[in-house]
Amino acid sequence: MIRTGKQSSFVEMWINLLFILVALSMVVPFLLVIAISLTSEEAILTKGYHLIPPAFSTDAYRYIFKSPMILIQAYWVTILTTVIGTIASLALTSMTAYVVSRKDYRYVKPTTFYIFFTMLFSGGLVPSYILITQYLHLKDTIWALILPGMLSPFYILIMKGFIGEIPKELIESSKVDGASEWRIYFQMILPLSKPALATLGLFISFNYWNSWFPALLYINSEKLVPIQLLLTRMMNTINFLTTSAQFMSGLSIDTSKFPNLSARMAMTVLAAGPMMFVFPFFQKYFVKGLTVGSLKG
Amino acid sequence: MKKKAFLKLALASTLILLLASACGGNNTNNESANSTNEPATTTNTETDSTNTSTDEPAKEELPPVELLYYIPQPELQPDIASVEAAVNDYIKPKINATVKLMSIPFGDYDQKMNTVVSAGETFDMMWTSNWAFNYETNSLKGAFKDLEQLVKDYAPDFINSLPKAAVEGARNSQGKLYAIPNYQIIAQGGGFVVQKEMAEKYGLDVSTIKTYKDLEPFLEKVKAGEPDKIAFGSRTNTFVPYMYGFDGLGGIEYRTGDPNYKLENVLASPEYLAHHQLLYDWFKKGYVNKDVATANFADYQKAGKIVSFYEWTLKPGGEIEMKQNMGGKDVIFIPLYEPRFSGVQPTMTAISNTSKNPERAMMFLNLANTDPVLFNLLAFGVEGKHYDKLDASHIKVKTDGGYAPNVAWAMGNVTIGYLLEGQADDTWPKTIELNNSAMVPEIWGFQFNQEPVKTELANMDAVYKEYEAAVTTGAVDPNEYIPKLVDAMNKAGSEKVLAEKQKQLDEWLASKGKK
Repeated sequence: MIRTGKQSSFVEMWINLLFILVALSMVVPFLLVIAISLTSEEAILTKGYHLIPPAFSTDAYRYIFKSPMILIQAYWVTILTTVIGTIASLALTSMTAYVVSRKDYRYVKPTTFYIFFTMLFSGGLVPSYILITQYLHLKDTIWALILPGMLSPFYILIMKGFIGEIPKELIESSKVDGASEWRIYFQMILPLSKPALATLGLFISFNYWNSWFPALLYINSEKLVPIQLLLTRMMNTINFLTTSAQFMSGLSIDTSKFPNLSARMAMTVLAAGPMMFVFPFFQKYFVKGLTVGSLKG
Repeated sequence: MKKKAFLKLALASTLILLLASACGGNNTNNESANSTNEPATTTNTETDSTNTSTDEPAKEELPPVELLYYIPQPELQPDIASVEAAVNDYIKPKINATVKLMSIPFGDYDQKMNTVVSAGETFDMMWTSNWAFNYETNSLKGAFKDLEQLVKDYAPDFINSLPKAAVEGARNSQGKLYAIPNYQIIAQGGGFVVQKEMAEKYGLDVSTIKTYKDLEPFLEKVKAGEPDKIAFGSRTNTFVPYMYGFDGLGGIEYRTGDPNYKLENVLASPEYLAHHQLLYDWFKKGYVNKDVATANFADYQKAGKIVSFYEWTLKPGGEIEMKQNMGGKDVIFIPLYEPRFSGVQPTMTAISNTSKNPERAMMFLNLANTDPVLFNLLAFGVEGKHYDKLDASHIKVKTDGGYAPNVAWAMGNVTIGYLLEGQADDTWPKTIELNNSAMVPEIWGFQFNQEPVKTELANMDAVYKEYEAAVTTGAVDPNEYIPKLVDAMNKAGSEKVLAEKQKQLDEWLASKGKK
């Protein structure tokens, strides 16, 4: 950076200030969630939300960890789907992208169009549900959580853009040296697209980590409930029952059973937490991948 | 070229491999699911409680079937498998059927059932209501089986034991019976709920409380004496037209005694304004918490901070249940108007149109509604494991037993089931008496078909939601906001809807010879 006197440092200051504000607007709500999860319920009701808990308490976490098996099970399901899903998804995405990036593949155009087409039109909820439950028979299996999100056309196109930048002379010279297509893919293409893989891997794993909708639709067995669904369910049900209070006044629901405010926040912290630790490891590739791998233009 | 073909082949085979492994995973998973069902844990169903079902169509020649039953529960129950096993052990000899209980949390129920129904999935029974997984809409969509004949054939005693108005109320707008009621309290008589301790401390004379206004002196004293409590917990939608000289059904109101049954828009009535002026006045005086429009009522209630509030239905013996929700504080009930028949649509059970064994499903539902053993199993689980018996009719639910859904009302006829610890012995006879004696509105049985004005209703709903939290709790000045609300509702089409309601009502009245 070249500093040209007073003016640019003034501009710099404003830019810094702007980004500090942007960063704060993202960090503060999360800090607030953590703070609420550590505040005693009584204090929340009397004093409201505070960044520094007026009355510190770990009751919320104790409440959740009272039956840790459910939580551990849910974590296990989420981690399993995220790991298997991300690896399989990356493999499929990069293979597909590699194929459509090869200019010597005769059906590049139809194939790319076929992929692109699914970005514009999708089958919709009910047909997908019928396909998964009645033809693939995936209901109540972990595959119902993994398969639906496995191949995203958008990621294929990003990956294609990245692989397309690898000089084709590289591939040709490998061929001359007698490398098989497999070897080219695994030993040339994959190592060269590491930044893109890392970036997409991060996106994909976020998607898997945060996904709850497939589980809502396809999972009945409690053993296969991922952590995000556990959280969404809790929130939905509380919300739903409070807003329908008038209609179901004749029916009794014991609201005292529901987790209180701080427990809900603690749950949020536990669900979001691990991903925040994963993120820094990817960051190195993340920046590079974003600039190099994304759509050129 | 050869290599290219190989690449294609490789890709295709990876895909196939992946699919195949998916199918494999499926199989193993199913197996494990079955095996968890198999170890039938306990068969200690109550044999001492009398078996009232007299019409068991238990015949040996019935082929064995499995019934899929979707039920909503506040949370998933970890030990539902042992309940299922016990239920199956019990019903197998009777109707040669087993049931698979598919429980879904309330928050997901709507979405999930809509998908399941739209996908045309094969299943047998489901819970439905007028507030979640809408009965009327889904009956018109063709989601349910017409039960008229099935009920006559397989559950005549049960259906005849219900008040006539209850069965009438289970019909949809076309007059078809698509679901049977889960019989419980079906009369609505709202009133105040007041913390007993506070009522005694500040000398509340219950007999003097007839309207909202009468509560004011008490609230003033509570406000002065208990600064950290909320004197009145205002809630949304506490305007009950029947308290203010209206008659009719929910959303279809006319002035009591009007021979022309001229429907009115209650939102625009002076009574509606007056009611909210009072609430706003209480809000300004500090009887109501300042954050009422945004706060979660249940949270404050649970913390025991709410001294009094309005409850839409005061149930016989309901003080015990209410105590649980009030943070363990004893309460007294103050009814404000004569109980009215409110209908059975808040909780019903229907048979799916895709069911392959509707007869067997009906037999099962008949048992669930007439046989206390089966009903108690469904509602409370297995004795000793999920609850303890206190005496012949009372139980104490084990909260950590693995099955405590606490929604007996979704599972069948609650009047044949156990009472919870602390409920009065005569809760069920009293409930039945109240149901039978409740005032049946004159236009009972009329069902408004929303189809012609669906768009307007959706718009009105959106408009109403915008104002609901602030206006109906009394958090904003009604003189300013109610005209705005009425105006916005007009723009959304409330007049057209009212005209349509009037038209349908007139037709209905003519068909009944009332007009």
